[in-house]
Amino acid sequence: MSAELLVRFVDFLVARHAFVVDATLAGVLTGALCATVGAVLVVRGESLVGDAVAHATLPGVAAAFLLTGHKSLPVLWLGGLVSSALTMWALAAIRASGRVREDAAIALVTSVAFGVGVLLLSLVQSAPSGAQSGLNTFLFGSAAAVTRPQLLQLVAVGALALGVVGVGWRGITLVSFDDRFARTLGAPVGAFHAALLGATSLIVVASVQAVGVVLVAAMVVVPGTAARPWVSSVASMAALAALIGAAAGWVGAASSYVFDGLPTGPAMVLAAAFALAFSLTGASMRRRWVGR
Amino acid sequence: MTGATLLDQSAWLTRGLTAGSLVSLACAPLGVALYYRRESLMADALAHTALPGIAAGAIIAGAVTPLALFGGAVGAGLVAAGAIALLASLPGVRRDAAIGAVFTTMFAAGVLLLSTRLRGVHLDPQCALFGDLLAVGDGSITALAVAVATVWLAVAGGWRVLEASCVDPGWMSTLGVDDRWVRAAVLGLTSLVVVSAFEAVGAVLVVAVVVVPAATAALVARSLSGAMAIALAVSLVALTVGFAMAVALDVSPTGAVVTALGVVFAATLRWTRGPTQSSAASAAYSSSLR
Repeated sequence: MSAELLVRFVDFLVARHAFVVDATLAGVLTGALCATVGAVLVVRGESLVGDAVAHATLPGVAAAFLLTGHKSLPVLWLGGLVSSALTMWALAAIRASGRVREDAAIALVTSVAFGVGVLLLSLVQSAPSGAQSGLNTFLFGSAAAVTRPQLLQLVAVGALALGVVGVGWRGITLVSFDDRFARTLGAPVGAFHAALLGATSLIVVASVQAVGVVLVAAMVVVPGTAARPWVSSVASMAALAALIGAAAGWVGAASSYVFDGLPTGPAMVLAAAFALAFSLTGASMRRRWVGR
Repeated sequence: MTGATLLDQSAWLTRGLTAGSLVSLACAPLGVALYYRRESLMADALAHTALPGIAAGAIIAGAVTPLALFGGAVGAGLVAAGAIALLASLPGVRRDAAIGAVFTTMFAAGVLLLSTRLRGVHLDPQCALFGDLLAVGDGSITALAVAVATVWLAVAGGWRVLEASCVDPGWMSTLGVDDRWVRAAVLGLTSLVVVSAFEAVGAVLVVAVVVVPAATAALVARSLSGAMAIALAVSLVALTVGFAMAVALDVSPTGAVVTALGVVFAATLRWTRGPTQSSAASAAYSSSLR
């Protein structure tokens, strides 16, 4: 039994099957990308924005499919981007009204967007085309099903999103720590918020394919939270979180290859959660013994 | 359409509306309590952790019995609430990050269990996520009725304490009741309601039925009891409209009900100029002091 698992693990390491390389790269990339924007969101106290964006892709994906009848990735991504942008706009409008509690506002937009998605999805499923099966992988994700062109699209989208965050980095960290101070400096606060949300949407929408709607939220929050106790700047936090996310992606892909039938997305999340438990326990011990 | 299928249709429509009304009755007062206690996100967390709970319950009991699923889900809710409290108590971990980390991780564990240990078992993750208002079983209706009775008894019995805890922690401290007990009671009830509503509306959408009517009511209500009444009304209106839409267009009733809830909220936000959140709280405070 264990010898067989070992053989499988070696198979995985030497990349005996070509699809394994693509699936592993997809896992590592999504892990690292989600963790990078996630680190900034965690610092801002907006950990659940990733969750909202991920849920909000569903109506767009279903609508794009209904309108075009195509299941091709760019079309679905575009739909997901549009609906998550609309949802973020709705969240911003609700917050700006000052009439709804912050925590309730995010739970509200997340669940309503998802409800609209379920409504549209039921239209897709009653549509005669019968080509809807691929939409289900959007809910739970499937890294093993990622093809080479999809991987390249993920790389392109990731580079674009990281480019946006990189260019606006100073502004994004400034408004994240002190919004009011940034305003008095005359910084384009709205543009920086929009840049971060835009990058988040790009990455989350591109990642949903590999890890699924609910689990993308985990890959946004967990690595950043795990990195938090060990760093003293947002940049190093993002770097450490990206490392944790990438490692979780690798572990997820490896264990889903070694253990037959183990899905990659949940395995990634559990690997990241393990890192979180390890990190927080370590931080507690350090506080006790080193006193800081 | 023959007479028999028409009769069938009206039978499951009645059943679906009954289940939906029970969900509304259970969720409205609870949602309002969660809203004013700033714990709306816990509904989100507890709804997601019901999935691993149900899976674990089925594995531990060795069978898919209602009691095993129910026990598993409530147990998972307790574990989640404990883990969130523990994480949030650590320095450098915000409460929203703790909530986000715990429930998504537990959900991942649930998906993992469903796709490995329970692969042969009849537990459809999609049904668990979305529910099916039109295919609600007798057991589910009974569970919902019990949940409604429990929620209303608890709210009526602990009204004074609940009102104080929602309105003013300072007032709360004069009552001699530790707020942690109120939190435990509210979260326990939320767990119960979420699990009971599981088959009818699914894990993800029960969040909407808890959060949206309460947030809508809070836009206009001037007292806690008023907020609960408005939330219930909003919920029932959305249920009726959503059901009509689902039947007319042949779409998912759950999706239609949640969409209707969203529309009611948006319209209320747009066309009312009710009290802001702080004055709503003080209005509730003054009305309860009368």
